[in-house]
Amino acid sequence: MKKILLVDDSTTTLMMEKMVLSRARYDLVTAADGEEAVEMATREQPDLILLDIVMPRMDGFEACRRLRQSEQTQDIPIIMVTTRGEAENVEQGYKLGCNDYVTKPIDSLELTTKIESLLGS
Amino acid sequence: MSELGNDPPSYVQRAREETQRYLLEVLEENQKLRRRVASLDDERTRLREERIGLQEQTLALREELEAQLDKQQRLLGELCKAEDENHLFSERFAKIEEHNNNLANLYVASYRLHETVDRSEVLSALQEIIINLIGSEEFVVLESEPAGGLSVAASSGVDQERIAGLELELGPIGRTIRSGAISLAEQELEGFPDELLACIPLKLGPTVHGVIVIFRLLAHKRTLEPLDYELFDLLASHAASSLYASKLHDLVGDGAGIVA
Repeated sequence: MKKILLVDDSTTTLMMEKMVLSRARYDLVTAADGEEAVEMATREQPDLILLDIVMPRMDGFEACRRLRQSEQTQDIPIIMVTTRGEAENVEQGYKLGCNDYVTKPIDSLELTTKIESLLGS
Repeated sequence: MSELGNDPPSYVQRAREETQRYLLEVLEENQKLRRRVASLDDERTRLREERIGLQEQTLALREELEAQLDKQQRLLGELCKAEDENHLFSERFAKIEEHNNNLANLYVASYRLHETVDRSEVLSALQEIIINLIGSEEFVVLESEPAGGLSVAASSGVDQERIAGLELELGPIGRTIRSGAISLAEQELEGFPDELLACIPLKLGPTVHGVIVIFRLLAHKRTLEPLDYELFDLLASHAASSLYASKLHDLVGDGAGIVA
């Protein structure tokens, strides 16, 4: 079973993501901010990370940069989850090494399609 | 006259011998030609049989070709049918997925509003629902005060000046409080301020206890979708009861032992 790390400080978003992805039979682990995400990713070695941008302690951009710098996590696909759909934010995410992005409110079909595409399932 | 046997053959004899030889040669040639004719007859018969065989093969191949063409036509028909069915199933799948998505949104919103009676947590859940499920970072939650008027319970992306400038009595906010019905800019183009998108009453039964004022959606979200109206309906009743319960909880206090 593929493992996905869900990173968001919003319980509502995490619940929503869990509801959508548990139907697709993924093993889900969660983190509430960027710092926890980097620790969890190193420890859990997920197959994919769903990373929110606006978070306390460490935001998604910084977490993405650190994940890409570490040998242990640099190859894990990252999908940015953002309320900021503007081009410059998306571009910054891609520059930092994210593979794709989805905007909030989350569309379940869009999310699962992008995850399946990155996991090759 | 020469003696018999010693004299050279006469002209007649020679002619007769040559004629005989010639006759033998002709007969031999005739035999050869007969054999050749017989051989050619055999060849012709063989070729005729071969031609008949090839004609039969051609006929069989033609029949097979026609059968294959029929089969191809039938398979193409089946493929078209399968593609239509696939398209139908894809559409149905997308609809079911959308339905599931809507239900998940409503479930999460309802769950979040009722999982606690702590006022700050209820307000936080309400804000998360508006930001993450509806898709707006510019809104204010106004609650009715016992002494009259409205006070700000929570807000996001809206400064005090903008809130102070809101027309509470007249316009969509006052109308929503008086009627208890959701007011939407898209339905009330006249008299609806440009900066407002929707006013959602916080209703407990027939009584309106406040209003959620949504100013605008996130930049990438162009318009309200059917799910948003469902969420507005859910917020109208569930957010109101949840806020009311949290207020009661604050009044009673944890010491009452009703809620751990």
